[in-house]
Amino acid sequence: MAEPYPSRSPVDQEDPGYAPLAGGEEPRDHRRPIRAILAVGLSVLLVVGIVIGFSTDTSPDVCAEVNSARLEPFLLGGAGQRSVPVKTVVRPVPRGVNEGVSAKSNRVFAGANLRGFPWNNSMLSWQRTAYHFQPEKNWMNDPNGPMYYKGWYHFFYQYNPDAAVWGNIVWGHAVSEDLIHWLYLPLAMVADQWYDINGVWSGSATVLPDGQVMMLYTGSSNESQQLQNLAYPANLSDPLLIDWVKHPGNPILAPPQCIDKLDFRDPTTAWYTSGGKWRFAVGAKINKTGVSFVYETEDFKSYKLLPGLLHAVPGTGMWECVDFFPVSDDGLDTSVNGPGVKHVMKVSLDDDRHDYYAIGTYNEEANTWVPDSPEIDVGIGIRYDYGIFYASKTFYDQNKSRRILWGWITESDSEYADVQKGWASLQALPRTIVLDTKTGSNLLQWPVEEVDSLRLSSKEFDSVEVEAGTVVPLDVETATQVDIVAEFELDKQALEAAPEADADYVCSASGGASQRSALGPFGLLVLADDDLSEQTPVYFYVVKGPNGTLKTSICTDQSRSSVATDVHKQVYGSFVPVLEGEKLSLRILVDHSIVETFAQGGRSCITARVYPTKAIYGAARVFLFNNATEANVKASLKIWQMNSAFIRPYSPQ
Amino acid sequence: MKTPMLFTLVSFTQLLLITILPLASADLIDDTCKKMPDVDSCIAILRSDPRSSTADTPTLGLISVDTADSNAEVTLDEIKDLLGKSPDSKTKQALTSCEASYGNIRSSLVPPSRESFTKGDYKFAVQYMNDAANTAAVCEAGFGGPKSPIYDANMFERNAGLLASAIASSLL
Repeated sequence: MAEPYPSRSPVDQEDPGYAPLAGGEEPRDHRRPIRAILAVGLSVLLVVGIVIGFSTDTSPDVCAEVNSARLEPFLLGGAGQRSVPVKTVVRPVPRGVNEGVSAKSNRVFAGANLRGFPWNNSMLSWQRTAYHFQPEKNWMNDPNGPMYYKGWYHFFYQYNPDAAVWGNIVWGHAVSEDLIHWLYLPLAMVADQWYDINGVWSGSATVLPDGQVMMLYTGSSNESQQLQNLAYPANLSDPLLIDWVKHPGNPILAPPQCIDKLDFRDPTTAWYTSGGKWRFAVGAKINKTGVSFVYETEDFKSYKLLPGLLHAVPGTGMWECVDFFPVSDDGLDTSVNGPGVKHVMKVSLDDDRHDYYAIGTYNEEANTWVPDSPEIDVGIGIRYDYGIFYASKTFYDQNKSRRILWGWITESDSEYADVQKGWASLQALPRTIVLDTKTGSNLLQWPVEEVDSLRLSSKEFDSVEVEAGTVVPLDVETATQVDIVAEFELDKQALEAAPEADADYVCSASGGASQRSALGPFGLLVLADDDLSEQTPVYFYVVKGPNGTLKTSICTDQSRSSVATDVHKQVYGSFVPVLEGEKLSLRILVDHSIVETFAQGGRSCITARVYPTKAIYGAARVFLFNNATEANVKASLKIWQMNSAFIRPYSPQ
Repeated sequence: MKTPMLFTLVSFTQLLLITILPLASADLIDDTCKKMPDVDSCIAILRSDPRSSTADTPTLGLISVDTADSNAEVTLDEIKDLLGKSPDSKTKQALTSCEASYGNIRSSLVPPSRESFTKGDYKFAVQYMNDAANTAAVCEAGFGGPKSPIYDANMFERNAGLLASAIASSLL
């Protein structure tokens, strides 16, 4: 395994890479005919190899397009060579402990106290959720192949059967009749073929009109190449679809010639064209330009790479988990198209681990999609969720004619704690997605209505006055599993009197709920203990812009959510459009270590993971708060206790 | 008369390739390291491993992960030795905590980071190797003083982890 490592004390080293080579003198030899044959043979092999290399190019059109003038400005060339002086010291001079970690760190530790927190079993076991999907143990990531089929909602997921960290990925499987009460089934697919032996990665389901199910997915092969494959149920009359068969003709697709074998994955659900063919997209990248290819098939037996790209955006990097679907104010089947139908393009950006979408128009004949507003093109504009939310995927639910969104919610604590507690990651609550017809420029997400069936007892609070600088306790029982719906009204006089702000407010760059101004922050404190030593504020922050216009942000502040130092301490959020006459409205679903927030009916969403050590079990409370300096706020809200979903293994009655 | 010429041509090509390839990769090490936050540490870590002369960037990342793993293995031995010398209770507590967290680096952070580099889903190595670096920093801080008895080990682990994470980041 590990070879003995060179000593860490300074050692004089000569770098073999730069040593001059001996001249190429060949010894005299009498076996000239054999040498000749060898030389010729090697040369022939070389030529044959080159010919084979060039002839396996199956997609000259697309790659030629890719190298064309359209993308040339965005395909950066290599930087000039510059050699760096080589030091002879093996162990580098250390710079000191508290200098902090690299700029690209996604971990924010509180101050200079870098101690790991002594988690105990009581704190860790509290973190498991009651009504969010998660497997019994170990690691989960991307949602896969969600669909509705013969009375059951199916959900598959990237799963590590061996550990609470990523790796050894296979497909988990669960079913539910209502998207809430999930039943675990056996693993649907394991890594047992040469083309997916290194990982059964993400994919999507296409349900055909005749009831067949085509599951397209990415396999990481024995040579770590990313290949697309097809699987289908072994037995279509088994409504649980327990057993799956991998298509004997796999793999069905290798990367196009201009694409790296490690940048080609996550096929989408297919849509049916007016030409009677099925099409689906696969994301990739060329240098730092994220791109999406489209393949076409009639029968899921043979496939054609269409010329051109569905879309590309420079500087966005690898496009994972591409999703592509039509939207309106109602759910639409993936194959719907026509004049006036808008299509959403969605990508998961490897570079920043966020999901972005944009609304635009699909031209089926040209096989291109164009955003309505190029300045907020996909990858540089709107996100589904301003907290932790990645690798998301939608599906069309024919049962209730709605489009439903799944999203992977990873942990924000340390891997050490994940290994201790034996599991990592959740799925967001399934959300319906529709076009916001009032703004026309964003989507609305809302927890599926079945979530409401978990509501137990409730308490209502009507027109509570929350004065500037105050906190109001709300008398509910313990608040670790609650559903909160709230409305806020700012005091009109304070609104008029407030000065114009000199800068935009950005949640993630702010001081969170403790940064005060005339009109905010105000909202709720969830997972807070009685003395507020731990608290998770979810709040609105209103600033006045030019001409008296108001700009509202919605944020979730993790910075004081836990006294533990080895958890994330960020402030998430975004600007949220508030239209004339609208009150400020919030829905917050608290489920142990996850807080999901929906503002203005789902125009802006924030999912956060929090790990309190004290505000847990019977000590978790909810408060109203108003940390504005000037404005009073009136709040009306209803809080429900939420039942558990009792997610458990399937057992026949 | 044709054979000696052909043979010379093939030999010359071979020699050319042998000369160019390591130089090409040596340039890759330079290119990679000049983008790193700690250039010297990067070069020292990568050049210490014989694989680096012909490695591509993901393999340079793997070398960094292997470095973090080897160092963690050596550090665990050092910790065991120090614990066997009856240290005072504060030092003992810090050492025990470091023992657990270095064990976690080897069992839970190194394997997915290796898989991440070999299979081309680099974001996991970015996170896990950054956390390995943090683990070493937390271990060092646990002793409370300016320099712990395993200071060199912790600094080296931190550098290897940050390097692996940065290489993975550059591949995204």
